[in-house]
Amino acid sequence: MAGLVELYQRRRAVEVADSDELDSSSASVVQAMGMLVLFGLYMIGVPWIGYLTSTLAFLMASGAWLGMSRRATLTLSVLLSLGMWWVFVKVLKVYFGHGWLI
Amino acid sequence: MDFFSSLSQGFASLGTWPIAASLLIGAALGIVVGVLPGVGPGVTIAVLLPFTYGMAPLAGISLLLGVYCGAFYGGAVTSILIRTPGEASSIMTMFDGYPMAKSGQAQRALSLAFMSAFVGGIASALLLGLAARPMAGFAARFGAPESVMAIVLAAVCVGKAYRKQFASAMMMMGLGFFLATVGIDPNSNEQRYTFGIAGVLSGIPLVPVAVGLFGMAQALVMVSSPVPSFDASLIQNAGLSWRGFMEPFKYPKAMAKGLFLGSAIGVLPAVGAALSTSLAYFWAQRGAKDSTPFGQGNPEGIVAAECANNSNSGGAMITVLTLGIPGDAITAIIMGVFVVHGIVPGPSLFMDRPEIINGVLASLLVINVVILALLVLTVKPLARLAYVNPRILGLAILALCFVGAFSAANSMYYVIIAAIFGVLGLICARANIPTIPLILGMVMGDTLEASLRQAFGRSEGAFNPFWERPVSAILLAITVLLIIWPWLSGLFAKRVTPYENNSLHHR
Repeated sequence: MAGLVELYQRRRAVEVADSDELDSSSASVVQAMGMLVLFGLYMIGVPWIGYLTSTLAFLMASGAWLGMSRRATLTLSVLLSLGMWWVFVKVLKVYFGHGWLI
Repeated sequence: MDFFSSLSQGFASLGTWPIAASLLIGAALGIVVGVLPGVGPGVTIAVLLPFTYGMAPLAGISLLLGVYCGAFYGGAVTSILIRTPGEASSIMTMFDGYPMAKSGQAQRALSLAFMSAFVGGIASALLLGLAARPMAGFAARFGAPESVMAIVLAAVCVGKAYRKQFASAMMMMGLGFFLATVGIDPNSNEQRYTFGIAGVLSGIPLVPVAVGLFGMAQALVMVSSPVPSFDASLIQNAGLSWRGFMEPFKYPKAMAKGLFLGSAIGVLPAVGAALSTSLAYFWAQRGAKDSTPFGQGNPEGIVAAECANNSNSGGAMITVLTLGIPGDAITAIIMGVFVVHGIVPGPSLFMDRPEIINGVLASLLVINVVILALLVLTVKPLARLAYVNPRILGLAILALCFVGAFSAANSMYYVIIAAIFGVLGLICARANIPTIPLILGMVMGDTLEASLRQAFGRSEGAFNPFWERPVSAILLAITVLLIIWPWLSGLFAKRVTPYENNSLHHR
């Protein structure tokens, strides 16, 4: 309750630089929200489509949403999704369910 | 068992391939994480936590300790070379490191920082070895009322550490305590706050909460923040100088100040390395040997800050091992490794599993040596990691958070919890509400509840044991004093002011 009251009154109580807390002062809420939506779709996609394809699609869509260059997006998506699929699915045998693709 | 035999047993327990490999990987990963922009040890440890479940306890703990200590060293690289602290605790190193690098002494600044951090790390590990056993002996006399009061005092210390955000820190701590009660009541076997959801019957698991609050929230901030620009010309000058390595020993006072404050503040819950480095830096200014002004490349500023920074690790582990009370978010997550393997941190650990205690002590010593060796070999290419786009890192962390949360129980339910806490972490970051107390509350919640029940069970619901038992009464008195201190100090100030006014008037 006291915390909620303090939140209401908060104007002076910001000392992020001196702590290990996350500083989001320069973050764009719209971009973060968009990323959350994409992450939600990714969560639905993994058991339905498959881990590798969903990760690839998630990274490509995220790169496009964040305005990264096509080359960087494609390189990151292909390398990271293949790398993670090999490490987690093939080596560590994490079972993500049967999707209709890989 | 004396200190040296404990130490030799600890070194022996590190002599297996899985533990040695996890120690090396953790140390290397920690340095990389410290250098990478925007990624902190908290994120990495949260994401790595599920992967430690399949390891031997000491291997898992060594991996996470490696990341924890490595990040302290790595954070200095970007602070000195590009004026961008990798961690909040590296800000003070930047004040003198960057001007030194700018005047063509980057190698000297880096060597000074690494050797000071090394001395801090080794000294704090030795302090852990020397202080932990007597402290555990004292804590072994704690009954349920003392345990309750120790946790309450720790909770108040956490709130106090957030100064003006005291109430919201306590609110988050309370939320953490509340979340720890969700699930089946261990005494009556009745459901508590489950709202009929089958998934929460066994409680809200720590792993997805840590992954969400620290991993996802951090990744979401990284991808949605503008890419910072910096002068990269100094990165080419990265390197080390042997003369710089020996230089910290010319300033024993600055070193001692850093060591004292780092270790002492490390023991206090939630105060964190950032504050200890600031205090050590300002303390080192008094009576400095070097005539260069602070903030313009004074080596003593770097020595004090880095010594304090890295000596936090040993101090923070003391309370975890002896009392089962984590000093910060990272040690709270490391405590998760103990809990998952059925090891209860606290005084009984010294009797039941001495190999873990000795192993932690030895691994802290070895980790610092490994990190320094790795830095000597790789500092030049490592510094180039500062070029990596934080948005790319954020995307990779988001993808890893998914796997990290999922693989903890091979369940999408864990990913959903991580996503919920990721959103909460982001909201809290936007509103400047601290999230570290929530994790601390969750970790300490179970012990608090069990001790509270035990205390009330024995006293038949009476509060008397809390002030009738001497240790509990002292802890209670300190807690009350901490809470009423702002009011008391205000009262003193009011009494002093008229007197001062009068004396000024008479002059």
